[in-house]
Amino acid sequence: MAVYRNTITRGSIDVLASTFSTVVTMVGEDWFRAAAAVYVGAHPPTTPSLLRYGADFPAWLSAFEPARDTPYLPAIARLDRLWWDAYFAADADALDPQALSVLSAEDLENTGLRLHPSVRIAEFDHNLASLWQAHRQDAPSREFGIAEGTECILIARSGLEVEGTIITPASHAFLAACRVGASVMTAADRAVATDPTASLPDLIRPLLVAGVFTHLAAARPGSEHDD
Amino acid sequence: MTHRPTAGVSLKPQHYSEALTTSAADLWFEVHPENYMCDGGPRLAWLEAIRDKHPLSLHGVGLSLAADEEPSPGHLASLKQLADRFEPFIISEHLAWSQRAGVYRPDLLPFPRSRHALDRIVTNVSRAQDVLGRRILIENPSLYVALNGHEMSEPEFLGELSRRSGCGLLVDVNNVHVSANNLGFSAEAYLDAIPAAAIGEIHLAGHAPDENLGAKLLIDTHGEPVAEAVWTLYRLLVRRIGPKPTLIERDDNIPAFSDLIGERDIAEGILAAYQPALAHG
Repeated sequence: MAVYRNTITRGSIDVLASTFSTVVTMVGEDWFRAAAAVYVGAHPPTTPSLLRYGADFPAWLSAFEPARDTPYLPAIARLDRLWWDAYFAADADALDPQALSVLSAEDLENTGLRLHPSVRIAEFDHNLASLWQAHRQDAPSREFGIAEGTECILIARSGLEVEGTIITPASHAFLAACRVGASVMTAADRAVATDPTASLPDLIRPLLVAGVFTHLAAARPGSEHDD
Repeated sequence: MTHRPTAGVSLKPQHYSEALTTSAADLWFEVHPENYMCDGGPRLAWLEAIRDKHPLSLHGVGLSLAADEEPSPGHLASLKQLADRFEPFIISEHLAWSQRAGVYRPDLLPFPRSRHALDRIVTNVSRAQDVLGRRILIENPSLYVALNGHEMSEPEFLGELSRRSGCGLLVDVNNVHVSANNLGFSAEAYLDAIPAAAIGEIHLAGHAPDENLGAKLLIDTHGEPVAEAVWTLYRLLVRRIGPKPTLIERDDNIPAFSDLIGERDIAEGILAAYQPALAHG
C-alpha cells in the first residue's frame, strides 16, 4: 500500500507548500517538505476540502525542534495563513468614503464601522511583517536586518487582489476596536491612547479608500471594554 | 451544453485569464469543487466569469462514497451550494473511500468489490443524488495492488451500481490502462464490459512509471500528456459507444493552456469522426 501512502502524504504536503509559500522561500523546498511530512503524519486533514488545511501549522512550527534556529518562522507562517484567509473570505461592497462625513458627533458615539470580511490585522515582534513582505515574491537580493520593537500589518482584499500593508499601532488599535463592534468614537479613543500624536483623519482616510469598511452599524454593547 | 458531446479541459488557476478569453468553440471546463469551497474572493469570481461563457463540470474527490460511513452532510451541503450557483452540466465523483473516523485522506483508496460493499455504495450514491437533486456520474479508480475479497469484476460492479442507484458512469480511460498494466488484465476487455448506455463522460490523462519499479507499476499522475496507448483505447471506446463529453484531465506539472487545448483538439477530432451518421446539426 506504499504507493497509496506516498501519494496521500504528497498531496497534503503540496497543499502546505502552496499555502506557506513564503516559509518555503525562506527555508528552501527540501527543509519545508521534510518538516511538512512530520506535520502531516501528526495532523492529517479532517475535511475533504483542503483550502483551510494547516490552520494550526504556524503554532506547530513554534514547537518544532529543528525550527529552533529560525524563531521568526511561526510568524511568517501565520502571515501566509492570514493572506489565504483574506483570499478566501466572503465578498462585500466597500463603504462609500463619504458616508462618515454626514455623521453627527452623537452618531459617532453610537455607530460603529464594520470591517470587510477579508480584513485581517495582526501585531508582530520586531519587523517580521516587513520580513514577510520582503520574501513574498522571492528572496530579497540584500540581507534583511531584524529591527527592535513591534510592527502591525493589515491584510485585506482590494478588489480581487490581497494586499498586505504595514500600519501604525494607532491604526491597528482603531481597527481592533472596530472588529469588536466599538463606536467610531471609542475606536478613535483607542487609537489616541496608543499614540497621542495620531491624526484621526489621516488614520481613517486611507482605510476608507482601501475599502476596509463595508457599512455603518449600531455599536455593540460591551465593545467598550473589549480587546 | 452544446448540441453534441464535445471535449473539455481541467481548469487551473494559472489558466484563468486565457480560459476567459479563448476562442475555442464548444469548449467546456471541469474543476474539483473542493477547491472552490470558500466564502468568496478571486477563485469564485473567476469561475463565475468563465462559467458565463462555457459549460462547467464539477468533479469531486471528497464524497468518499465507498467509505463505511455516510458522505459528510456538511461536505454534501457545500457541494450542493456550488451546484446551485454554477449549474454544472455534469457532477461526478470517484468510486473510492478517502475518509475514516474523521480523518480525510486526499487520495483514493481501494476497497474489496463485495456484495456488501455494493449495498453500502448504492446507499451512499443515492444519498448524494437525493441531496443534490440530480444524477451523478461515478468514476472507475486506478488500481495499484490486487486486493483480496472481490466478488465481482469492476465493470460488473460499476454496471450494478449504475442499475441500482441510477447513477451514470465516468470512464477514465487512463485509469483503465494503468490498472490493467498494474494488475495484469485486458484494458480492451474491461472497456467492452462497461454498459454503454450508462457512460456519461470520459476522462483522458497522463501517467508515469513508478520511480523504483518502472513500467511494472504505472502511477496515475495527471502530470503528463495523454499517452498513445490511452488514445488508442479511447478511439476503440468512442467507436463502440459513440461520442461522449471527454475531458483532458491535468492536475500536476501544468503545461501551457495551448498545450491542453492541443490535446483537447485531438479528442475533438476523434469525437467528430464517430458522430452518428444521421445526427442533426
